Amino acid sequence: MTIASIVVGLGAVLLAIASEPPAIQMRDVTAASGIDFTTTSGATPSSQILEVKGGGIAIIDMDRDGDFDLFFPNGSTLAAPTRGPGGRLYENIGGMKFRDVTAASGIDHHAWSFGCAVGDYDADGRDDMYIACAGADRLFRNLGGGRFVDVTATAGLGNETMWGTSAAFADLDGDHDLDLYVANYVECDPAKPIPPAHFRGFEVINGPRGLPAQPDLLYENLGNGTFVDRSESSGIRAPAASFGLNVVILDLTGDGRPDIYVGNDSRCNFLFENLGGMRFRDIAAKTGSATNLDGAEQATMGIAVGDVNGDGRPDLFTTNFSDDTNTLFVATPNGFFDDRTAQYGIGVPSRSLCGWATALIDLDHDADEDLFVVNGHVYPQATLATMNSQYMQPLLVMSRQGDRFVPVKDDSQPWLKSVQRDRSAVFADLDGDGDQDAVVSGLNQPVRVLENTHPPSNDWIVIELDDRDHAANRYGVGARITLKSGGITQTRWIVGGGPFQSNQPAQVHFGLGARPIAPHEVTVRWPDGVETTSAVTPGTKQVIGRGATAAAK
Amino acid sequence: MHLSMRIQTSWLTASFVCGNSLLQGCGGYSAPAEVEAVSEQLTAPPPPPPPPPLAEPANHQNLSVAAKLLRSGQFIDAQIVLQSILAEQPDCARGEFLMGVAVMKQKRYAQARPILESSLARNQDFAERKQVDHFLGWSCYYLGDLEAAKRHFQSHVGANPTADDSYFGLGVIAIDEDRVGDAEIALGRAIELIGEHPVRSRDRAKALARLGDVAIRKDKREEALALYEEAAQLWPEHYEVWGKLARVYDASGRSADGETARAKQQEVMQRTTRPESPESVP
Repeated sequence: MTIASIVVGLGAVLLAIASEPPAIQMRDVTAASGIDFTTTSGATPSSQILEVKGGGIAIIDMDRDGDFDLFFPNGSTLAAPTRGPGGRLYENIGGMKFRDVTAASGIDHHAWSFGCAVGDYDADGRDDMYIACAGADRLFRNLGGGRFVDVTATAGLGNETMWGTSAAFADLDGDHDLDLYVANYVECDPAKPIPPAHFRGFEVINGPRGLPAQPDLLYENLGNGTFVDRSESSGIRAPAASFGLNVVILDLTGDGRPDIYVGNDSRCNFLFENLGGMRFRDIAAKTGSATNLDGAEQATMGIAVGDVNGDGRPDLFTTNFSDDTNTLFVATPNGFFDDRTAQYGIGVPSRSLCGWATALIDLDHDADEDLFVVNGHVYPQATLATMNSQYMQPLLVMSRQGDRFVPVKDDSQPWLKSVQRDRSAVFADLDGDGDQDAVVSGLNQPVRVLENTHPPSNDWIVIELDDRDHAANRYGVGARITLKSGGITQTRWIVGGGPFQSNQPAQVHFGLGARPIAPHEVTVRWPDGVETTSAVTPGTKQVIGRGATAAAK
Repeated sequence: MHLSMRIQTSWLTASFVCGNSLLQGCGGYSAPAEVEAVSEQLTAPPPPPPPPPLAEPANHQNLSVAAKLLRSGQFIDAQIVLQSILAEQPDCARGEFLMGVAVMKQKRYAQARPILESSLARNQDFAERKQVDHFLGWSCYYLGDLEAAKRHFQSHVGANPTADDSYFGLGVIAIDEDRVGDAEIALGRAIELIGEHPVRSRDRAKALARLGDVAIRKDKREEALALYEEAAQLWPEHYEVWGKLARVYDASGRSADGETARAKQQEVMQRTTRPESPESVP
């Protein structure tokens, strides 16, 4: 064997290693997690539309101990819609273990609940929770120590009795406190069952088409612990009421003000451009974000925000009904959102699935965002033979490989193949090892905890914000965070709203690739437009304060 | 809105009413000059020599009834007739073919696929035998099995080089796989084969619209606009092309034109699709 042949052989091995994409590896650790909770969402099989959306998940660091706790609002039954089993609060006690602290929390809420928004509405440094319900929504103020109190009435909320699905906090009027948007769905009285509809020869659950849509709500935070309803004056009700299912809030127009993107079921989505002064106008159609490439109104459930082409502009990914595809809207320099679903390989793998919660996250730390979608059909009658789609469906996890997203297929990972009636999910580093874990919930089924088992390394950075100058939005909802590392620029946003009836935590995660190259520099565009730049260290979670003081935590 | 409504296979016009041969050589479209090389993915791999087809079993008298029902869009009725035929003659490949089409036209692709595969596997000779691959191609496409869909479309164009709709299918698959050049070639070939006869305006418009999608992919909005406008002019009932047009107008800053196109899309949709009711869910 010559030296040359050894070099060539070694080169081939190195090339093979370099060209093999890092695998996404997760595992179901529910049994050991301490979360032994089965959700309630009417009966199985479902017969009414109220039963098929499921409950969301709030991811919240309720005790500011640096890890994320979980709240499941939970649903109820048609027979007793306001007397369900109630929500469940789990405290993260480290090591991917949780304990049920509902009883001591003060949360005694049994109405049929759906979405959650998390934010510190009263500027006391503790994140609070807003729960969207069928009926009056609730606001729970965080008292600290894992205790909450229902402040709905004193905050001026809960006067509407619509079907709230998703909600989001963000500073919409630039006064540094967190306002609130609530997406509402359809008129639905559990006491008056809706007759079934017909779909492909089957009697199926009726709606939302043919049912009266309910208008969304926008509340301005007055900064004194109360809110005032600005739904009419703000312009968000200029378009006809629709079937709202999800909302995310961030600056989508590039003017520095947070805009509101609303996913509507079977209708055009809304993109409310923030005009300033708590005034909005719907520009979804003229920006291409109302419909897909064909101009088709889709049934948008999940919404993810990412930057798939690395241009620093936020792209939108939506999940939709079966026999349709999920849709990727890529932002263009002129403010348009091009439907690039096919280009990125996202359409075909989603055609047989009915998608719900979703996220663009770097699961394998290769410095690009992967795609995670939870699925499950709404019609119990759905089979491949009858509707090209199964009632129980697996997750769709797609790894970013080059210019395409590729479904992860790995028989050695049972969590990928498990079929469920999934609806909601949250994503964050739950065990403090630097990678992104997931918690998934569905209809009348046990909540699942999925641990990311990416090998321990320093190929990640997590960033949190702490703006002491603006305590009412201290954790930077609306901020844009750009990481420059080894010639790669990645951008993330701290958004209001999230995957589906759930929230995205107020932190961002970056994978750095196998061999992170210094320097690593983070630029934060704070919600008020001020930009700061800080050096950061791989393999750490860092809190960036105003004034560019980055301190490893 | 179901994606499956995006691409309606034109089997009635292509296979039963007009016949592709009627329109050969009428095309006015030429593939862009820069797209010269035909990808291997658009041509069928060298097929093994097929065994000679077996003679068709005695033709059941009701097969023509079923075919007539299919032609008139009565797919469920056709399915019922075909069920009784296949109960009597379970090895009738033509019966299976028609059954597969009846099921497929009800958008039950997973159910249609094995029926069509069985029809093909019987290797019997019947009038529409060459079309089986075409319908199998679409069934596989809607089931997300692009490789199988590609194989069947390739087989169809291999056996029937004027099969414009299978070229169209190959073009749609190439879009999904982001093979832009191949998509242009396949759709261009489909447009060429469809020709300019007014009776094929619908199919030509759909292929032009898909070619417009390819132009969007290439960031060539002006090109897309021209293709979409031509498609809308050819077949104004194609509501999706109005939606596509609206998007391009909006992206080009022509908001008023965008509004007009969107209004047209809504008007056509309301006129040509079922009225909104609980029965039209989801």
